Amino acid sequence: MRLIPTSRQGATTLVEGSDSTAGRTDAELWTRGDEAAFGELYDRHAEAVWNHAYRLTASWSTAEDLTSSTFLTAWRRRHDVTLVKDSALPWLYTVAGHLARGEFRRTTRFQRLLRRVPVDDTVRDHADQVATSLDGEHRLRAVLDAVARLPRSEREAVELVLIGELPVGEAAAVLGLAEASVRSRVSRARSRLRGALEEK
Amino acid sequence: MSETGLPLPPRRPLPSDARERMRRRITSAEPPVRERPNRRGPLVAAAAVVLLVAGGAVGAQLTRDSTPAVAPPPPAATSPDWMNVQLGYGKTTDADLATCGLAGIKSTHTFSMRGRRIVVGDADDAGRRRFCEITYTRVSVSLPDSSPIPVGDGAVSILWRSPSGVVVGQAPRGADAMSVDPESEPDTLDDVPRVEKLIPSDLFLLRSVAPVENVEFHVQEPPSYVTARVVKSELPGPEWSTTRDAYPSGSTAGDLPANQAARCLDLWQTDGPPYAGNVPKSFDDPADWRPTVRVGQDSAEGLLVLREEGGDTAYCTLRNGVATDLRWAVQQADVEKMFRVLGGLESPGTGVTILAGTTTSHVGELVFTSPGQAPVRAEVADGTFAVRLTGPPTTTPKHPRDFTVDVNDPDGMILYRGPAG
Repeated sequence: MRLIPTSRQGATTLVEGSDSTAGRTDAELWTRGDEAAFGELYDRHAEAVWNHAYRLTASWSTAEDLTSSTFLTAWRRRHDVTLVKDSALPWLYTVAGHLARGEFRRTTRFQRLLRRVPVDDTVRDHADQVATSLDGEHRLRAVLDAVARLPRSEREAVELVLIGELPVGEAAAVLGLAEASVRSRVSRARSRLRGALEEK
Repeated sequence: MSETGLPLPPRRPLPSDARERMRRRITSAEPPVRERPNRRGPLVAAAAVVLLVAGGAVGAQLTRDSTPAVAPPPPAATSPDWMNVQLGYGKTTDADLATCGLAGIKSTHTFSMRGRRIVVGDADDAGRRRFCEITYTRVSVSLPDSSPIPVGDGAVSILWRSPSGVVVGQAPRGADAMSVDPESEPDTLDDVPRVEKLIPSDLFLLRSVAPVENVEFHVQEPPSYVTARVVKSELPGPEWSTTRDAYPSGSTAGDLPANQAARCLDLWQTDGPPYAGNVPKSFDDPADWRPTVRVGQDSAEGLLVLREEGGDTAYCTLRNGVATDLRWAVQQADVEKMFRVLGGLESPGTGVTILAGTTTSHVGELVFTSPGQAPVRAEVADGTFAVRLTGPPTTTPKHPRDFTVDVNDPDGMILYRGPAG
């Protein structure tokens, strides 16, 4: 697969015409499913997924891996999935959540007594040093620890609505639930998280 | 604090180099477009798959009694994306039979899937079959007197489960399609891709990580469906087989670094996560990897570093000297950084931290210090390093920057002193 950089990246000029991805909705690009369309989806959502992946892992280097894997999974499953709303973001967040939890399970399966040391972040700049200060990282890890202890149904809602900051409607659609159900799950989870974080 | 009420970090702009790096990872992980079969209805017909047979990629249609439709290409055309291979198929070689110690029996076929080959023997006069699994470092053979285990209404039976988890079963007579209820496999996105396939002689293969699988068969005459629930925990485990180590080195010493490296590569091949954008291409051939440095061999927490000719690095975790898991890293040290901590392990409650990574050729020695502890010299070799540090047990995860490192050149001249991360 080639992920074609679009004109927004400045690396390649996208030829306008019938093949153009400009102005297409996510759903239209998803349905097209070709490399140019997927490249446009990548450019639209890579930043959001990367940030979400960091919030799920508290590691920028892992977030890069997770983002790559998320888009790769999305590419491979693009014919199996129909977008329920126009935006591909809820689906991508869901995939990232699955992958993040998979890594955790794998760790526990093989290394019950071991955990990974957070390694140097791949991205280095001043903002990186500020944003990933030890305190901030530890606070995020505390949140993730608390989220990991939530019941699965609440955890999925929290990952999309609280961590991913998606509208409840979009989270409900991708989870196949009524909006009211998602709201109540988030509300219950919020109470549990508040209690768990206050204990720390 | 974010608007959600949780102490979440603010979102950041994605640097262009990170964007392109991830794009390259996705690009390099995926071969030219090859459409995968979609699920159709409750049953999936036997579908076209790309097969890997005897080191070559073979396009073939696997049906109940088919043979490869296309001749294997020369060995040089080995598929670089072997992780995408679901199931390979070919005649069993004499070498495989000899490896399995089954030289006296007739064999039907050999099936290859991620990291292993499954040899399926013909039924003997009593109707019993022998099976064998060959991985990179192990050979397992089914016991001759094991009995089938009926599942469902008895129309389906499980004949063997290999130590790596491949189930071989007897399908209902005349079955022409097989599928697994997606509901029984909740983790398809983040674990080893499932393989379910009818093979000749009304047999089937099933490889998945789900503890329970609801399997459905379509029988042609009379048209009907047969379902069976396969509960993995109710099946015999390793006692269904005799297993021996068969390392590529020829030595049987489990504590030999080359054997530990081979075992870790074996585990990753057979049970690792799916091929993703961050897996080096060089994992295609485990023989390309060599062990470089090792720490904690005799302890509960150890690490063996592996290097490949192209410079990729991987980390094999050890528990009491036994290889348990493989992780990889594709970044390398550069002149500017001189060394780079790429991975590590921490054992909560013990105070043990292991750091590992790569160095440039300018580096001769790395000495790590944690507050209040004596300096520890890292094992450095072949452009890699590893160090095992101990300190007071803590409840919060350590970061490399919690340690100080002295980096010296081969003559002992200091090149850098400061945080390790």
